[in-house]
Amino acid sequence: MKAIRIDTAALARAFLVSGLVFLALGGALAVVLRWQHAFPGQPVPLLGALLFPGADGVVSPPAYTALFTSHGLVMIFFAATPILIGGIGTFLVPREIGAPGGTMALPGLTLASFLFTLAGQACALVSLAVPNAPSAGWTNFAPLATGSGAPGPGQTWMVVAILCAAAAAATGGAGVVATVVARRRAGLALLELPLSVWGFFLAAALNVLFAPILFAATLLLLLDRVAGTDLFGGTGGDPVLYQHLFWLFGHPEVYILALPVWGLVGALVARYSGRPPFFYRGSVLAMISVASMSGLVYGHHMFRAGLTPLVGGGFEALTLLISAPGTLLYANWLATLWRGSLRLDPPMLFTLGAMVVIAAGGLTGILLGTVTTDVWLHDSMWVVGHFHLMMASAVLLGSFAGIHLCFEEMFGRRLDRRIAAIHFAGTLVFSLLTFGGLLAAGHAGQPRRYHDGLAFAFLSGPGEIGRWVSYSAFVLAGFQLLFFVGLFTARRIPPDE
Amino acid sequence: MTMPLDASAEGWRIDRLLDTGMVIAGALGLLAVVYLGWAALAWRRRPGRLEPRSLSAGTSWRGAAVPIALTTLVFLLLDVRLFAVSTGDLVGTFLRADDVERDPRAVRVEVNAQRWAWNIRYAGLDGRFATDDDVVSLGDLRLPVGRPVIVELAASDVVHSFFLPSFRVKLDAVPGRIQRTWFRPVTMGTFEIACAQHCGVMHHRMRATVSVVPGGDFDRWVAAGSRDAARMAAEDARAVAEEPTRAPEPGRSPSVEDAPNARRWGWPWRGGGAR
Repeated sequence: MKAIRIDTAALARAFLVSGLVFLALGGALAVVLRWQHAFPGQPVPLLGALLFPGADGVVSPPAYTALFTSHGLVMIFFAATPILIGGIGTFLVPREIGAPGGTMALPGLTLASFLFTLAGQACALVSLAVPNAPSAGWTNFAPLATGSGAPGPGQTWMVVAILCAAAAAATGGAGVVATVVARRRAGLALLELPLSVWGFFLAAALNVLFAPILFAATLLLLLDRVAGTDLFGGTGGDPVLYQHLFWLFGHPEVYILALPVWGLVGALVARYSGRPPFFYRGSVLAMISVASMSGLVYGHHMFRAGLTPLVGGGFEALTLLISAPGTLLYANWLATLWRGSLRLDPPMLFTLGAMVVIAAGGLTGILLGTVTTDVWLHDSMWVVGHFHLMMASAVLLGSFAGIHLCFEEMFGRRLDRRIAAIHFAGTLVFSLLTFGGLLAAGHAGQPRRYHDGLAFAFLSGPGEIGRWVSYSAFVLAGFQLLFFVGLFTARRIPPDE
Repeated sequence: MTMPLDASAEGWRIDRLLDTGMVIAGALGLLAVVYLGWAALAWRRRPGRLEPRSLSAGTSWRGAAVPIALTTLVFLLLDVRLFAVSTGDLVGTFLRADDVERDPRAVRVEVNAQRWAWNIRYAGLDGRFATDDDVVSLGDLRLPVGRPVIVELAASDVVHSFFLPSFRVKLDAVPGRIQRTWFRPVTMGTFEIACAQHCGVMHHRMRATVSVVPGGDFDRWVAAGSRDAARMAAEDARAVAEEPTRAPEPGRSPSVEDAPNARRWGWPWRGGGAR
């Protein structure tokens, strides 16, 4: 029997391209979503008549729920994950550990992960095309997601898409774990691995551990939806059980996307400062600590769901505790820069930008971590601002750093440095304005997932912030178009170089 | 942009912890950004400049003292402080619902969330819930100023979240569960109830009002409402008895459809049994 040869680099390229296509889709969904907050009740120009023909091109409440649901799921599972972990991770990990030929240990797993991703992306597209687009939010809380709250085939297709994403995460993670364990260059000890590899390695381990929980929870949700099992609702089911299962995956997912970025930042800040990573062992220990604790803090998503005081307090303590290794990691990056010799090439610019948003995202997360501050901030735009800093800004800036690092080797083409610098500056500044604006709106009381706040007197102030957040988001999206312009105009590197 | 006016006795605890936390976090974030900006400008590689001596790659713990000290400082300033104040506020105040239960002046309210409305229920003159003289309203929560209020919260369809911005209250309403919270309104006026948990397409319209009124007005309003409710229940019962078509057929168990609308929800007060 002849084995099929699987080209690791080609898989990495395919992951990256599929992720970038869905980044554009997820971004477009966000722009239409923000349109409603910039110009409430006005038809969306150009696309409106096409997207919402029944509503004269206006973003109606059902359209709005479909937009935020699809935006979140598309971005997390079908854009950020394939770009960062599938694209950059698959390309970088085998090379950085000196694997023979730069290939994965079990490339079939990586191929399976890619095919599951493609299937998930296809299901997500179908979910948007059929009547009744998905509408239960990216968390799909039951019984909203199982019953009459989210009727129609769109929600069902999106649930299947999440199953595919979970399968992709578990298989891809297994492939990376196997590669780092078994395919390191002879003599390369674990405590000599580049920090970037540590990030991808730990994220992969978390995917192996926690993606199956997402798969199980989502499968049960699907059964409730199509087979009437009433596990999470009805007379015998428990809606809170779904929340436990979902967040037991959902919180580690934050670290699944964050750890590779932290690893890349640690490695790149050293490389472009002309320094070894400061207190390398401390950084590795910190990343292992965060990964180990990642499943022990999820309860902070459920402070308002009625945890007993002891459980709430325990999750609060663990949540605050997990910030300590994060702070140590950050302090090590700062120390690595100390009196270094900084080369501000595009990967370093994006690395420094990622450090800025990680500070903002981390600090705003700590303020969310107590049971009492959470009374005010829970389910508010503050939460949305916080996790966009961590999962949108930091993951994107880290991914752009990785893309600029690997692009020439991956595609044999060179990205324009001036476009990269402008793209970097625009992304950093308008990320901070957009998501900082969401923090301000949330602090002023704006709940998330509101089609508009006109019915409420207390929302007149936050609504005004929301308008400016939208303007900023439009500019942020414009700067991402510049990135795509850079991609398409990248020059082929002459063979003599 | 500021938070809405705090009209409760204890909400300031949350505001204070959040505000001081934001100042400390903001200062730390600013320091990090200034350092990064400084690094990018001052330590940029220039031709002719000597390459710096390589720092420790971290095999020794000597160089580690600075990051570890910095981490400890941030942890004490931010995390430990947040935990201490938050836990103190919880134990000393917010979790004291059992004490409030024993307060003879406490007002008890049952709230049932449904898409997309808030149903409010008071025990009425007999002091017992789920009886004929209960005062029931749709989205009109009236409270006496200065007296503690205990809310038992449920939902009949999907998960909602009972959000009183002006009283710093937010608690999920979960189908199949009865949850409890308490607060004390100290400012008279009209305020709002919103839903904080996505509950479907009209989530943003799930509005109700809270009217905080003088204690005497409140007592008279409840008493009048309770007498009306009892009278209407008696009239309903008479109408059912006199009109044979409305009586349940023999052998058929009574359903909620047989009860007047207002009596279809509500539960005997749980007290310490709810949380």
